[in-house]
Amino acid sequence: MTQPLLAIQGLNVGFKVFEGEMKVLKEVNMTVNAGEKIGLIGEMGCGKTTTMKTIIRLLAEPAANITGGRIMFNGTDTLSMSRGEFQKIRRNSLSMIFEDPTAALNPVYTIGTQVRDAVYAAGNFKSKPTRAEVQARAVRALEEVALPDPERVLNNYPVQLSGGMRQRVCIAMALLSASDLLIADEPDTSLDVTIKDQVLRLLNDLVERKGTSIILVTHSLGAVRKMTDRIYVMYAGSIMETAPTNMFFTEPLHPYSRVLVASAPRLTGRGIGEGIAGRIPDYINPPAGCRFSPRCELAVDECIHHRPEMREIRPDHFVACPQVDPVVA
Amino acid sequence: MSILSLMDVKKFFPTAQGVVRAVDGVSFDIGKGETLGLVGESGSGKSTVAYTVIGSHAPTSGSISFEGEDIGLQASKRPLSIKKRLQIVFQDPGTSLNSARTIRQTLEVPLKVHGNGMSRQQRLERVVGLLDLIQLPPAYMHKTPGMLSGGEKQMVGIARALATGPSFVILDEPTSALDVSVQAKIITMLMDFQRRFELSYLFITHDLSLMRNVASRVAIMYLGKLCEVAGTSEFFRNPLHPYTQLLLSSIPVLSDEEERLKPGQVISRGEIPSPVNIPSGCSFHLRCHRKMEICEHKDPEMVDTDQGHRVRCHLYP
Amino acid sequence: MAVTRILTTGTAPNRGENARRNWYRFSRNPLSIIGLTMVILILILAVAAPIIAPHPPSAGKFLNFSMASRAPSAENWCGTDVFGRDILTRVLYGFRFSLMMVVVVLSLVVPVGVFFGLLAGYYRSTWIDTGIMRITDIFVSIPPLVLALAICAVLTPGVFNAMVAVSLMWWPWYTRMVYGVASSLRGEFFVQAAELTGAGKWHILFKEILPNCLSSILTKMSLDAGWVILIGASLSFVGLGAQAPTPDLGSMVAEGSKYLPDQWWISVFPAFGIMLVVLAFNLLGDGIRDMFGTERG
Repeated sequence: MTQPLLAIQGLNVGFKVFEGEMKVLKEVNMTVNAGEKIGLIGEMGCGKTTTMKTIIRLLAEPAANITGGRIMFNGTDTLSMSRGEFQKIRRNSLSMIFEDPTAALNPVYTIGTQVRDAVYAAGNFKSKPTRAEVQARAVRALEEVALPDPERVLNNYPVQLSGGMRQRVCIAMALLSASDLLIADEPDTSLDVTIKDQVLRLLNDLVERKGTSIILVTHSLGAVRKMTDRIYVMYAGSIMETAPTNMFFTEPLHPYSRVLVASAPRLTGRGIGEGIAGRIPDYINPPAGCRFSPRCELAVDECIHHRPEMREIRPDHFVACPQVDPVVA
Repeated sequence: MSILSLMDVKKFFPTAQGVVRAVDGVSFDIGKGETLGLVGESGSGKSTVAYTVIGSHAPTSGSISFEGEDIGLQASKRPLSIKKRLQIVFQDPGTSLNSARTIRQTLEVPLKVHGNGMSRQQRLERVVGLLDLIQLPPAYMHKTPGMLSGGEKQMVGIARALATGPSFVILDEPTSALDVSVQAKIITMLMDFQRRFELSYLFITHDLSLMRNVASRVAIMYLGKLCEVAGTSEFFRNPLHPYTQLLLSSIPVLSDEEERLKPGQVISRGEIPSPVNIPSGCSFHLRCHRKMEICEHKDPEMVDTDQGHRVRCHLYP
Repeated sequence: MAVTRILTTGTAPNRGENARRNWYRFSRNPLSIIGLTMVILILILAVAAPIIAPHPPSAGKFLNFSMASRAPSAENWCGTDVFGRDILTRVLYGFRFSLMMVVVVLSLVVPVGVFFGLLAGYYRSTWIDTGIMRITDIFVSIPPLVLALAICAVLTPGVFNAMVAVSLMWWPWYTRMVYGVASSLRGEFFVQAAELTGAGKWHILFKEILPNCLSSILTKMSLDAGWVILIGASLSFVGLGAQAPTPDLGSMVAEGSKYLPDQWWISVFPAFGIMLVVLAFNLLGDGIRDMFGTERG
């Protein structure tokens, strides 16, 4: 079997706060193969963004504290790398786009300045590039994300662009340095539905054409279904279920995934579920067993006291719940 | 008999760049016990409609009547009895509650204003009753909003709106900032309250799939004007306006069954133009996949195609 | 019945919790603790001056030329001035004066400034806003010390008039700050909610908006305490503040400066006193700002 592009193994991350330590991520495992499109789904405060920020080393240390686990990127553990070594990876093979494109762009510089900086940073020049070369690459980058009239856009300031256009610029800049893996943290959340559709299509076309792997972090189930090959469902800092996307939407197995999917409003108009009672657990004193057990209707004693193992219920469909019966599935 | 009726309501805002025609001739009625889903993208003017109805600002022209009374006035000029019956739930649960005050203090405000001299004890009982209504334990009254989750804050926002015993509630994207599982819970509650207290809702949202499950009628808004209004099942069975079709087609759905309900593939292109600089003719023609020549210079009229299915497009005579 | 029980037994469990959280934020910076300790120490010294001062009569009309201009020694730790008064005693009493000035000035300035700021902020873009803010502009546009000098010069020089002068130049800053906070808060949904349900304007000003300004006001007050002392000392230094023989740090520095550099202790110790007080309040102010700073967001 070939080596995965990214393998997160048993990652634990905590944050020190006044009340103690918030044990946010608990034994997170995740694998991204080359060219694979991954969807990471979960609700607010479930640790999706923390996981992504850990991968790309954007956690605000010293409050954040990685207490265990490995992040293997192309076979080497990035957590043990120095800042300088990691910077090389970040420069050439790994990049991230954020939820809020307005905050991701510096308002006092033109789009051109920022994109050209990204072109420089991404490097890949044999000798010191001329201004024209850099400009040409910047224009090409914006053309790739289907921005009309890229030369004009390069002379604009971020405020002169709409939200959708700003997000395209961010995608263009991220793709300059992401030849292997692109992390998209809710790239669609702040956009209107028609623009969201455009941006997701664009992102999908680009990563497919370039063979870049992508982790799409979102709380929109629809976006994940539309765009990804494999889905990871996260709840309160733990992965609850992972399956090929189609299989997951045909039949989600984990009790949490089931309520989550049932809560989404459907075009078929058969009403929406009742949601989940209670709230996400307190990370200072998280439940000892399954982190979903306090809100789970199927929870038994075992769930409360023991962390459930990931089990392969169906081929390639893993669920961390002892109550899901392989025979039924 | 409609409880709220808007007739050709316009709301313009003068700005340095020119006049923003935020709401430009909107008319609709909402019947007793009905939920009208007013759907649009950002900049469509849907929130301005809500704030004009609630009285944050007076309409530039047109008339709004509520239970037979003309309320085309700013809230400060409206009688207290209107404010009692017409309430609003805000979009952002984070800023709709005062973080410096406890839940009890927040819920007591409408009781003090409209309570007709309720005693301290009566108010306290009512606060406990309101918390019970939204399924929160009484001890929550001592908490400040910072200690509540987003969903809980929004529930308190709903309780505050219900405190005066209104007959009509405007819901301004009440769940857009929340997770789907929380949204489901809040929507279930809102539907329950509608039945129990005979409420009518104006539900402002950008989420068409949500409206499929919640609204009795749906109205689509684009750049300050209504495009299409119809009863929910008719609306989703037979969407007429090209913009409606674009919106429906853009929804990321969860099953093949839903995929089949979408009106085919309409590729979304372009973005909403600035409301300062609205295109001539039909304001949607720049993005329309069925544009005709007439659309560029003539704005279509709203027509009634079939028993209350109204559409504003040159395709439909 | 059940309700009363909730009211009595279910009292806010968050009070102590909040206090501890605030202390945690405050104490993360050791400098804040140093500032707090210094302020408390100075307070104690000032309050207890009559008891702990080595030579209390030195604080008033007291002459003893036989002791005049002695350098610091075991007997007079900070030396004596030209009239033979113990400088350490006068510095301790000087703290009293400085602190009293802070209390008086801030208790005059804050309520007035905050009230007008709330009013102007809430009624933004109306004649109330224009009226209030243009008046503050007039006050703010005159250099503060010059204004205070002018006022003190017109009135008879003295401690009371110095305080009035400082207060007059100070309130517009509170108005401006609260104006900023209030005018941004008045668009918030919670203010709209109160308005739309029909709550009165005083309710909105004092119950909805004011509590949200408190953190900024407290921070500014603690940072301002140092400034008030400095301005007061400056006025005294030029002879327009406290008059002899009042033990005021500013006037002590002024008098002592005539005997520099030979009898350096006469001015250096009071100056050091001023520095300590101002530093203490500034550190405390920074701590308070940290405490409130991370609360939002």
